[in-house]
Amino acid sequence: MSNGPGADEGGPAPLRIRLPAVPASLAVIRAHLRTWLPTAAVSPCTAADVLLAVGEAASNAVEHAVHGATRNVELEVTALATNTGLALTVKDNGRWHASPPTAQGRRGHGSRLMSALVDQVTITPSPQGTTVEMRKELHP
Amino acid sequence: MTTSQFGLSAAEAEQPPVVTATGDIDLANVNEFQDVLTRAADDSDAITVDLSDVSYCDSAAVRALFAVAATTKLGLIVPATGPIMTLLSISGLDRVATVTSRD
Repeated sequence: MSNGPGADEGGPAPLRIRLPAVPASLAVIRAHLRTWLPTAAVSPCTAADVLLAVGEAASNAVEHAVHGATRNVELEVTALATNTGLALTVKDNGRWHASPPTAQGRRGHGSRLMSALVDQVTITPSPQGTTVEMRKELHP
Repeated sequence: MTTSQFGLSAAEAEQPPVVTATGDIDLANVNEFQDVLTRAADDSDAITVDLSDVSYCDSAAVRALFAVAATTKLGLIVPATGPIMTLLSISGLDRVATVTSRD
């Protein structure tokens, strides 16, 4: 019981990154996650899935939130170790435009991808921006 | 994030040209990837794209690959592990490209 993932109460400190919603931020987010995920006792295989799920959400935010925005859009990524796994959020303060059909298909595909990689995906658009919440269960 | 991340080797004998990508591919450098793919496909009706040393790629890379697959026969070499296979099957890219996995 001593070393199991999530078994100890003293998991890693939550990760919280706030960056401009620009393409160059995506690599910075991955670099933080690549350092943080092993501290949460996440296997390399699971870490790669999480990296892609978060990367996809962040990439969507950069593409869609910035499009036509009249203010500086920021991206906030958080990662938290819970009792049973990981809670991840990708939040932007951009506008969520109604998309033409092609872009909609593309986004649909992005959320299907996220759903395949993590256990739960909730996307909440609002006039203040979009929040993507993801849960990944860890099976020790 | 330099162009050296994407190499192109010319067609040899019966083999199509090979685009070799390494490192991470995302929105920040996908245009470079796309350019190399387009250059490779300009001179050939088939290309191979070797992604076996790619440490990260997402839908941005998939879109670039779909664009080139519209005009060119596409072969993909992917890592045996990691989520790239999930990415290919969810996007349907594995149905328009010939996918080989490599350890």
